[in-house]
Amino acid sequence: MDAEAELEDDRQAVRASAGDARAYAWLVARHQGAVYRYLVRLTQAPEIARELTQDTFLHAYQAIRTWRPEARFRTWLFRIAHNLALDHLRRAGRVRMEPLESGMDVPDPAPGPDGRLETAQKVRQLEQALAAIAPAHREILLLREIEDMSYEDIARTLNLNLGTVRSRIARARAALLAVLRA
Amino acid sequence: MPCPRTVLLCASLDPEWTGRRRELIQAHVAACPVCAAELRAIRAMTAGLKALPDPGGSPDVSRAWHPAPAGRRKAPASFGDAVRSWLGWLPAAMAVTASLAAGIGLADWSWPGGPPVRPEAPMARLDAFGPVPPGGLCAAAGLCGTPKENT
Repeated sequence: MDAEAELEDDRQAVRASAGDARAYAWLVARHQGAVYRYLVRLTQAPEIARELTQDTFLHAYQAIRTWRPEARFRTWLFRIAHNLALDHLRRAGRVRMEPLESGMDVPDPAPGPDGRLETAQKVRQLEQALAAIAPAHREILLLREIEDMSYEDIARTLNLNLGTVRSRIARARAALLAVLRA
Repeated sequence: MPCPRTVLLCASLDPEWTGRRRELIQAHVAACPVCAAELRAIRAMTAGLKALPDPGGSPDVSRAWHPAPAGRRKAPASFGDAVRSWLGWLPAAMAVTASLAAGIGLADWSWPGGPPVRPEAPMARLDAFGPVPPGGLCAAAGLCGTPKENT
């Protein structure tokens, strides 16, 4: 997410916190896909992820007046999503595993020259490996590699210090690699 | 320098990870084909994560917050807001109740100078089912206890 997009986010969040429903609708439309993407991979349960996505935006709507421009709106939103997911995982103890392949937009299976993992088989392997690692590793990899968050934003989202974020990202990558090779 | 652990190779990928240790690892990787291959595998994995397709099935939450054409908010209202919105209908509800009560009251009102109200139809009409047969004949005195028979 570039700086201009973040600035526009914060402008709309200021309006939303002043009671502008259109501004809040704009923010929801912009972030609902990313929030769902994060939650569905974190919980591995599409139906629960849909409910948690709705809860996230409901909680954010109820708390939008407490949002301050010092915190980036996206980080603030992901923190709400993370806390709700964590509550759910703690309550449930165990989350029902559902395959993520259904309805997924699988890219062209032809391998590209840059060596990216583009084939459907590799995508499946990566999704399965992500599902197999510990939730604490999964969530930090999702925020770093897929949501492209900075270390500072990850620290705010997960309520960790920077040193823990650094070491956990490295451990999470190593864990994912080990699962892929297993 | 011995081959660094995979965790350290993973950490060395991030630009935020700076310092002498990173330089040492980079120097080692440049000279060690095994670690170079390991680092390539880690890079390919992170690139694969970034390229993962979006999972389908995202809910359209934004619909709940789109303002109605008239500008009325569709977001979930609090209980207080709901009560206040219903209070707006209170005068109309009171007017309807008052007009219904007046209608019922007027229906029961007997106007002065109007036609006299006839008493309720007497139950004597049911005499048709009494012991006196049609024509007023009675088989024996005393059987029919009506004045007509006594005459």
